[in-house]
Amino acid sequence: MNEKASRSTTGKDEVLLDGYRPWPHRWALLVAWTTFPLIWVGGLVTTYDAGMAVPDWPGTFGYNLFLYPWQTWLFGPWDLFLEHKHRLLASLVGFLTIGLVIVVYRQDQRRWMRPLAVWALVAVIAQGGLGGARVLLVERQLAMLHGSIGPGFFAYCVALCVVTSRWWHQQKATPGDANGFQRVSVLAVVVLAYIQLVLGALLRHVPEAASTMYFEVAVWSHLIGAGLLLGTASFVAILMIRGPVGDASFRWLGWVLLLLVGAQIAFGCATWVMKYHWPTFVVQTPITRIYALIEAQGMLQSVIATAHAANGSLLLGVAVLLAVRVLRVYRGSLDPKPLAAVAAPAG
Amino acid sequence: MRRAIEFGVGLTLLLMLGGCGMSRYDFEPNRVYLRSQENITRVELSPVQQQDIQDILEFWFGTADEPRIPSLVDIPMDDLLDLELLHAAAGPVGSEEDGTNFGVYRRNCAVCHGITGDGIGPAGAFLNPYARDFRRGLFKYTSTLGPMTPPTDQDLRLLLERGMPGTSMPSYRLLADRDLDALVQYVKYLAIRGSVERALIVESVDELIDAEDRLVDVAFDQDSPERIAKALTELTPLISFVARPWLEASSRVVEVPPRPADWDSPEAIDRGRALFVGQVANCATCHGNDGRGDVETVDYDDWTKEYFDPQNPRRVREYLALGALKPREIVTRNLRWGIFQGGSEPEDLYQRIYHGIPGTPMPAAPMKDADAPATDLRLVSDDLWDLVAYVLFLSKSGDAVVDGSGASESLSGE
Repeated sequence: MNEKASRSTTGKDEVLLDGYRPWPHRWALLVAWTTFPLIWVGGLVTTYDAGMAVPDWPGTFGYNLFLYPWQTWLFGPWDLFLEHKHRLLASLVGFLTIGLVIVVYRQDQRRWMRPLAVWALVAVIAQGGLGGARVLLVERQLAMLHGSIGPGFFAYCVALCVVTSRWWHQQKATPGDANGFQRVSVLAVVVLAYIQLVLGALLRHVPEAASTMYFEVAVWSHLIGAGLLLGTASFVAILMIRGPVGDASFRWLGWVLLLLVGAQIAFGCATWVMKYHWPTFVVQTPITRIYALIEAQGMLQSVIATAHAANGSLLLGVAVLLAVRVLRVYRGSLDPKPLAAVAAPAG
Repeated sequence: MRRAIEFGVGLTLLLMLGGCGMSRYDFEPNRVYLRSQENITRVELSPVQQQDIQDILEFWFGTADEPRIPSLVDIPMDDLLDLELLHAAAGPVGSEEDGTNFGVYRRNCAVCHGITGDGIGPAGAFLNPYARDFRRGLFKYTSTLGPMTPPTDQDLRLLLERGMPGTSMPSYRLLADRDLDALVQYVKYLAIRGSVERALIVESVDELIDAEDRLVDVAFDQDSPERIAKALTELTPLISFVARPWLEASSRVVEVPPRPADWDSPEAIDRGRALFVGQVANCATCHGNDGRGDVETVDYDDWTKEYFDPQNPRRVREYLALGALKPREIVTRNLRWGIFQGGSEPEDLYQRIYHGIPGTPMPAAPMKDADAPATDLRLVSDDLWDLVAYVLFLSKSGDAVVDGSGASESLSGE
């Protein structure tokens, strides 16, 4: 791959690899890093069931969202604090995504990047609209959908970070090295991690009028999914740690994946115990002396439940990161002809 | 186009899995109790007769979103239930700018106790013990005399604040005062409504001989509440019958006597142990001599016995099909763990021993009057304090072997 030394618009020396520009990547990182806390706050809104703390939308109690008195927000009721913060942060992510589209259009020479950036904007607008519909229609199942799409958007941002990165540009297409099994394995982790997030959202937004059967099916599906995810993610992680895939960063990612999936299982168990107490098969054993009394909406209960949801998103993000990188290493097919019209960098 | 179709299919599947129609928050009919009464009386109510019961209940008590308090001539229902607080507890979850919450019951309780308070919320089947079915009006931990006497507001409030250790019932002490009061009111409301429904079921299976017979056709006079109320006059004593004990509950509170000066001395613990294993208090029969609760017993609580006959276990299938939860044997408390669902203060334990635990095999202590002859072997309050001392001693003994002699160390000395 040709490397062309050039001077970037910022004045710093940049190594431009087939038209690599740093700003799309930086901006994608900014969007991803802002989306992650948004998922945390969204998780807290669910944990505290504060989704209806502000009954109107897109305004806040009749105010323009951005003009709502900060004193009332910061020193008012906790539910209002969470919901308004969620909306402000979501707006920030929306604006940053608009910025991403602009930066990609202006800086990225690859034509196929443009629809990817536009899709991100479409997704963030749709997600915001869904959040608004949940409030205006007082519909809990839309909240479930909203909670399922959020992590998907985060994972999408992670994928954008990878395809805009210097690493992506540095890779050489090696279609001859294609290893279908490894590709399928990492994609299976992505699919399973996302299914788990959707099932988790079902459990966290369970309608109070739902049947016990609904909840049982959701719980058992989530448990079976956890087992499958644990097995698949561990397999992929070991593959990355031991195997010759790509560079050293894959080994590092393998360890991160292993850590996250382990933490996720632990968070999941703790979330259940802190919400519903010990499961029936241990309820007559001395272990129940630990955490014998549940405290509704206590700090520990809330933080752990939210951490479980947020860590799930992080796990999905890392799985996507790994999958896109593995696909990139094995196949250069996602890197077709550069955009001829924007070929020459400024300088 | 293909993407759009894929997205549409995915979304549809998700919504289907999410359960269409689950956003309707209606009270569920008590089908299990109806079937049990039908089986007893060999009378089967027609769908119209069953619907009449629900229509009457809705006329009196409103809906899960819009609760109502029935008006009675002989009972001041407004003294019993606070409509404003009921509205705070009922309906969908939300809040106002000043932090005033609505839908407090749905937010905090319904996932386990269900919208109707039947203990069959979505998560109900996973809990052990199961969440309480309020509809019998029967509560385990009360300060009132007699197993059928409802709890006071204070009893319910205390239970909400401290939760039930060792169960899925959390402590709600972090909730605002108003929210706790709203929950107390709503639990009473669900209990009274559920008990009235049971009374209407009994009335129906007893009185309606033919399938065409009706209690009252409420739907017929939908536009005239006055006419409906008049038509229901003959049935309003059912509400009075259910509501009066709730109104009088506070007058039936049994005060816990003050602890004697030496209530937790080694001698008191020894006396408590003698009572524990003795024939009068007879605690050891279920809890075992050393309080581990490992005595082989097969029994069920009263809520379960209503639809489950251990002598004829297959019969339960028809009730399970109607939504009843799988029967679970009741488990004797292991006193060594020190986890007491109704509270672990000495006064709490005194009340448990004095009142027993209504709805379970734990009986009330046999108490004798102050003027009873010395030959009367039943217990006095000092005996109960000795038992409390021994139970607390056991709970602090962990797995240590407790022999019969000189239970020994003073609790206060620990």
